[in-house]
Amino acid sequence: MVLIAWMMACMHAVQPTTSAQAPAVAMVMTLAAPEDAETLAAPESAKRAVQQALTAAGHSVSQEIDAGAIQALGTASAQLASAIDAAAGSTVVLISTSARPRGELAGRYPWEISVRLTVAQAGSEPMRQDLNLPVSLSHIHQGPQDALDAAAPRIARRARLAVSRYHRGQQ
Amino acid sequence: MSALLALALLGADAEAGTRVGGYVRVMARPDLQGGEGRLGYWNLTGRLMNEGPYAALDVDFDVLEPEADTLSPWTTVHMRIEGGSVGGADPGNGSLDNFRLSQLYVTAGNVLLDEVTWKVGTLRESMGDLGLYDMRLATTFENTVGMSARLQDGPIDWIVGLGDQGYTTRSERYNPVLTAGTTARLRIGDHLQLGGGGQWAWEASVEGHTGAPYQTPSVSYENWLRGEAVQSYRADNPIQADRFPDPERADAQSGHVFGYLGFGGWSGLKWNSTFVRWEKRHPEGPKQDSWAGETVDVHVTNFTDERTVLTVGNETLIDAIPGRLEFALGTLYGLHKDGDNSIMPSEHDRWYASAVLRAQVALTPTLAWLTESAIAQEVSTNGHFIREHEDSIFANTEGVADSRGLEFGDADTRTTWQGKAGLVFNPLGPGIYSRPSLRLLYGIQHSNENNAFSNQFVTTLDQYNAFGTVEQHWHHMVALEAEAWF
Repeated sequence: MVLIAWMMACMHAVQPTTSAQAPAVAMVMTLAAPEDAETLAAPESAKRAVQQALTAAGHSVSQEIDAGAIQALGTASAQLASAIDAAAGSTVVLISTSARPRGELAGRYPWEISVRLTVAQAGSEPMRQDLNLPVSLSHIHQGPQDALDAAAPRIARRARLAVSRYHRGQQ
Repeated sequence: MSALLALALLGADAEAGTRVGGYVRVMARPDLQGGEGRLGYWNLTGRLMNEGPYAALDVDFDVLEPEADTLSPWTTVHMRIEGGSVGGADPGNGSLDNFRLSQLYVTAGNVLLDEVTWKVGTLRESMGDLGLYDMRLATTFENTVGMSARLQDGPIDWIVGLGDQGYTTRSERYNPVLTAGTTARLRIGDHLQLGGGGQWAWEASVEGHTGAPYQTPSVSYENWLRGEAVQSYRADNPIQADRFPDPERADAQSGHVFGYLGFGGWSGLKWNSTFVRWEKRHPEGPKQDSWAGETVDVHVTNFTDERTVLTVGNETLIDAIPGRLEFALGTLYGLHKDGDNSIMPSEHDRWYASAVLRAQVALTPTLAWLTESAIAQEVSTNGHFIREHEDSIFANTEGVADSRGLEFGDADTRTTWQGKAGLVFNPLGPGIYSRPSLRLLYGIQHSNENNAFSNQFVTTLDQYNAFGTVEQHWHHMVALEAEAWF
């Protein structure tokens, strides 16, 4: 009980650092499942997780860029150029994800989410990060969108840090 | 060893074409009541605090990566090494002897047929899990090496496979055990899943092959059970020139069928999984029997070919207060029958039932309080099988001491209750199945069986027993443990 009381006393809520002058951000998130022939859309819950993380950092976030149109472009550079055009001066956060299933392991269904996180602004050098995030889902029927949803909190945290670093580098 | 090193090197140098993952479970559970670090005997009262350490390393290597939105061919090599030992956490002390290359297969997609994935190698497939029990009743091709084809088309997921399970069934006495099976899963909307499948295996009866299924004639079931087949034969045939009967060819088959119903995704009900499985066990190979310097193999295919297991399990996951309070409720029923055995209690003649309820409340997004209660009953259908007291009788007949009796102890029912509670760190957020989890737990068990946990007590009632006997029905334990998929 003493240990529990001590631990409870040590706990405190971590408030995100906010900045009133944080620049506007235009966010796009795409999802591909290479082993399926279908074109997928990132789930709203995953996009919302990233949006909330950026909003908590003081950014105003828009999601008006058509993710489907961006995904349809063949190359990463064309996708980024199109997103920057559509962002009308805002900082673009382009999150291209791909979900791959792995074999059942100890009762779970592991997936790997590959993420290319690009932060860019018109006329500036873009910043890119590549992440590989493992997630394990509980049920066999869960698919790429569930896997991306499970990885969304980690993607959101990395997106917030990347945007922060990018803007620090611009100053 | 070299395979493990190769995997480690692959993991360290993982690039786009290599995906490395795995599973670990490690714990310290000092037992001050003479046990070996587990609260009870097995997972019937929930997996928590009843399982030992485990580690698995899983590698996928893309020889040809799939391309999004196309049906171009792709191929991947998969390997898994796993085992139940960690240095300092169990008697094996992490020795690599406890690990094995349990899976090796190559998959290829969109070859010959679009949306079909071919797999050659180890074929194991599982449709789900009773997480509270760590049991997978919808598993097929568990011991099979062969080839399968998987069609994933919209709501349908269909697998057909065939192969050989001779090495896992017979090991050094390899004999082909040909097997074929199929599973199918159907998605009906976003909230309902139906599944089913089965597999059957036939062991080859090859004339003259010592590993083929045989039955030794003129041996009674009871004499085999008692290890007195040779002794009994020599009593009737004392002249050594009379050879012990030669084995005769027999028929060995096994298999299983299962069904799965899953539904959920409505408000508080995250998901409910129901599994039903019926299994016919594969007959055993020969057992050695000795008497007066004469040792023979007694072939027992016909003595072990009527063993069946019916298992029904359900697990419900309820999100009572989203992000704050979750419940998981599991129930399990098992019925084991051995049509050949009506004289001796065994794990093949019993039924059991169990319920496990776990509640986890998130104190913060990364710290939770876990509480679990489990009740289980195991009943032997062939007489007594447990000792309730430190001075209970051993061998007996109908509860009366009998040195030739085949029953054991003074009860045919074991009733066990377990309670567990403690703090859980969940770095990736709240949830009963959020992992990694780091746990500080206290567990308590009560059973009508004396010392109902693995231990090294001396149980003999001999007056020269230097260590004496111990009677205890309560078992307490503290655990520091971690579990992660990565």
